[in-house]
Amino acid sequence: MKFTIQVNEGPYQHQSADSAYHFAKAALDKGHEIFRIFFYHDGVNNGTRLTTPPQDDRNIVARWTELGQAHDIDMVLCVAAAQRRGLVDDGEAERNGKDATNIAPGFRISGLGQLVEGGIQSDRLIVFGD
Amino acid sequence: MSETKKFLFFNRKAPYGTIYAWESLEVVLISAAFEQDVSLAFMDDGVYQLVKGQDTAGIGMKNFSPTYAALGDYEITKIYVEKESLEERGLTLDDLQHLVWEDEDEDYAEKDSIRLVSRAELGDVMAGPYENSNLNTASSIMKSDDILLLIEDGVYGAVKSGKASAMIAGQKVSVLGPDLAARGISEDKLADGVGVIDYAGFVDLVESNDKVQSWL
Repeated sequence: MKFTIQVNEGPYQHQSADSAYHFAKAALDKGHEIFRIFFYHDGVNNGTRLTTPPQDDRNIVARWTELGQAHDIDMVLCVAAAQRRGLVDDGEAERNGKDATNIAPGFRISGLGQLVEGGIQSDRLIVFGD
Repeated sequence: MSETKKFLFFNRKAPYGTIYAWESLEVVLISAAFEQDVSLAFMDDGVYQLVKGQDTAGIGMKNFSPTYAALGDYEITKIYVEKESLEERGLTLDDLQHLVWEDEDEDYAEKDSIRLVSRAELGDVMAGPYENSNLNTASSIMKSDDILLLIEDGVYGAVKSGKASAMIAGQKVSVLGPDLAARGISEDKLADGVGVIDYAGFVDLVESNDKVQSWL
């Protein structure tokens, strides 16, 4: 079965980033396909490579990158949400005249249409957040 | 993309205090641009989003409430407002914006977009299982075939001695075991009939039910 997952909350602040990750892993272990993971609201903060958690804590961002790259998952940060919260890739830096980027490997920034398309293309859309 | 799916967006948060209402409205507009079958439901504090006369000048935030009046132009014509949520908050339909759409099949006659529905009727509109962060509304909207999965802090609702467990009595309820264990709740503390599943079971539940409603 094909799943799209939506993550609405920031990492560490809220468990939904963890719940979504464990759900995605379990789904992949069962042979399902993750068509896309779409990060919205504060969820876009899951995609900053500048995060530095304490050494004895999980690295939520790196964990997403590993999972995404191992299973070729399309991981998308909503552009409007990302702009509000300062998540920047090369294209965004150029378009908006920013002096740095902070997007983590495996993520890309794109529009809300990607979420809607995920809902259309997948058998299930599962939303994590409050 | 010619395929059309039904999208029902549930709005349960008030505007301005958090950004959820505004960013959710952005999703709604994009969905409509994809020419999907889009409808909206407002319940709990979400009904505050539609209150008329919003003036944000004093807080320096964008007043996005006029956008609701434009939904008809996006061919979003089904806006469900839950009666109980309005009543609990001392509101009536007169307190809300008058939202209309033009029916091109009837010479562009203006028709009301807002449909006042009871909680039971809203359950008919949805037809699916729900995770929840608000046991009361989630449980009372469930249909007999639906399954409620409690995750994260939601698992506290399944503790037998807790007041909240009365709200889920008679419902098919599962809790996510890892979330239970993390919070130091042993399975013998759960209300009768509550099942415990792991993430793999969570995936199976999503697979076996064709609609999944997160209770955000």
